[in-house]
Amino acid sequence: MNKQLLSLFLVLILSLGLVGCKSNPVTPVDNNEKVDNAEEVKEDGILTEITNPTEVVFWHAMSGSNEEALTNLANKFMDENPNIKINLQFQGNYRELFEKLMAAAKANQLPTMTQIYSNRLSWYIEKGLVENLNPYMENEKVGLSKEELADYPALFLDDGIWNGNQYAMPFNKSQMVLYYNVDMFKEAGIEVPKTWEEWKSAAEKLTKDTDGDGEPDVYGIVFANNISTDIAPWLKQAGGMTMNEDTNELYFDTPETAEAIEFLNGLIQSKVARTAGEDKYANVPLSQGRAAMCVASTSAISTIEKDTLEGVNLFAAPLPGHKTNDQLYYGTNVAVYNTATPEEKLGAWLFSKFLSTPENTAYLAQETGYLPARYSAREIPEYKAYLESAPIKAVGLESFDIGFQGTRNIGGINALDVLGEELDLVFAKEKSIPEALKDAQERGTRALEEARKN
Amino acid sequence: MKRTLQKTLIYMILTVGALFILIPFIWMISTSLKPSNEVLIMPPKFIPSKLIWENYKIALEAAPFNTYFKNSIIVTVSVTAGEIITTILAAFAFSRINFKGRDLIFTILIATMMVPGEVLTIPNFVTLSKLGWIDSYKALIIPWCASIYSIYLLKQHFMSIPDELYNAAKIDGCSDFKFLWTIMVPLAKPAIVTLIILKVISSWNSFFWPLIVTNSKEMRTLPLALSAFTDEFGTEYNVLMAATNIIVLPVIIFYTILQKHIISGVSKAGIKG
Repeated sequence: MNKQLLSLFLVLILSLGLVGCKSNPVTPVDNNEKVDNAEEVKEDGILTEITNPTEVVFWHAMSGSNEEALTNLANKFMDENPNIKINLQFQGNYRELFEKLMAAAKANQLPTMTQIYSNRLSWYIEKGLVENLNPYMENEKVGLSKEELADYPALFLDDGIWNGNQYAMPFNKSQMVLYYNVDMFKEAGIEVPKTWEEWKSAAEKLTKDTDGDGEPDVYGIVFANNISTDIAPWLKQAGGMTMNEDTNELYFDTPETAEAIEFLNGLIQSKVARTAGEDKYANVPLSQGRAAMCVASTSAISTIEKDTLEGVNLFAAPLPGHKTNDQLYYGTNVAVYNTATPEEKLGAWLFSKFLSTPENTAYLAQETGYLPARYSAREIPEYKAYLESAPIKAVGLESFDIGFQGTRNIGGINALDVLGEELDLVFAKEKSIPEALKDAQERGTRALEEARKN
Repeated sequence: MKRTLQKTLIYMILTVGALFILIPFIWMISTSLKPSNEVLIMPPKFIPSKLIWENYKIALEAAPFNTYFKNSIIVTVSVTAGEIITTILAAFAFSRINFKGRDLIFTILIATMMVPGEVLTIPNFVTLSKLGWIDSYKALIIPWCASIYSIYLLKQHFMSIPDELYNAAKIDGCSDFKFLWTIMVPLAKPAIVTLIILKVISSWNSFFWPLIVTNSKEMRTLPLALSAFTDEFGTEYNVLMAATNIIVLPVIIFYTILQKHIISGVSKAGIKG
């Protein structure tokens, strides 16, 4: 009996010990002391020239043709900079890349640079692991001129700035747009909607229940399943926002959010809109002629074109506006970790800068379907000709000045997921909007706090 | 007459069962030959309007399959061999050898099964990086060379072998080691084969661990090639299925060869494969 009790006790202790195990604290590393080459480290702590062979490890999530384009750019960079070797390492899709980065951070094994969303980068910045790029940007020899800086759409640069420091440079960008079936619009004699009212009315006119079973065979609009992740544009257009980046306050239970949710829920309850559901992606029913419009990213154009049935003619437009005309842009940036040596960090900066020169960002845009990160990219003759041959790809270039990128709070995604769970209850008529928003506010705040503890 | 009816009924049920199992495979092959715009079409189409063999070409070109194949084989064979050896030795020790604290150690080992694998990923990654094993075969193989689950399973099987055999062997002057390899292991063959099958399948299909501990294409395994066909906006199901067919083929061959043992393993050891 005693033996059994002892075993049980030990098992309990062991399990609690294992579960409660705290992972390694993350320690920022200053590798400046590692410099052993003759190059002088300037006062601002950066190198400006690489004389010894240096390897830059770049973790990314670009697969298929995207990876091919990135590899071509890396090869071009290495031809121009024979001392720098860019080691591109594909780490799976975004989720897998971010999980691996987290593990690497805890093991002090971070790569030199990575492709990353800003809402993920916030955590690394808070832990002091990311290199401030300002000294590089402002440096006469390796930096960017005022004209060059002005050539970046402000929303893309701002997405990499925390407390006045540039921690990331824009990489692959896209915009949330409204895709529509051109022929359905023509047939119904309606214009592409520019306001919520027009949008609702277009959806009503284009929804069709051909077999009269009460379930539309063609829906007016299809939204993504995780509508809450990218709900920001509707909240902004209603005069609100999702959360405050400085104070971490959520704005889920506000009249503006309620107005936006009422609009979206109204569309869904009147069966002129739905979420993707079994179709998984919002563009699938549109590609197959089972929907007249869908909301999706401009970077999905290549996938959409491949999946579209013959005879279905699609185009895209900015999202219809309401009180404001704000447009959501998203996409990743590239950031450099300060755990690297000064040579590696300089190499990584030079490659980040190289990726966003007008020629290279235009090349990447042309090959991948993402948007170029520079205004002047559209003057590059090859890209210009490409846009003329595929005008749908120019849609995302029109709204830079009214564009914004999502909030970057640590745990912001977790809070939005909670909002999504509550919205699903609203769409399923299991909860009223005020009740759901109140619960989303409370639960979301807890989720945000929880995430910040990690 | 009654017998014929009974047989017909049994075969009918078996046919329905077989179809149930086969349909996903047939669907996988059918999808792998479809053009992109027919993959998700509603109502679903079983037979593609035209056969796109190019999907296989695209799949093969998306990743260095030769290297991935070689790595998968090295890792699967080593992990399986490693696990079986440690399992046999440990199961024998826990079932036959009397030593102080045996049951306590075993209980503690069993308790570790309560810790979910996900929780251990980061600590294990930290340990391996401190050992300098990241991006090497060592990281892919060594952490998987022992399994408490297998030890538990085999220990129970070993315990069902009568003590008389052990005692008789001992009287005849047989060492523990000889007894284990010449008597216990042959008697536990069905259970061991089942463990081998489970390990080969799980190791061959393992995705997350190889992703975490490898960086270069030279060290990656086959399942990692599949993630190249999915991005945030969709999955190229046709190409993904083509790649999956290529990857799953060795497992099917392995299963076909060992089919007899699997059936006897299931019936004799009472273990579901």
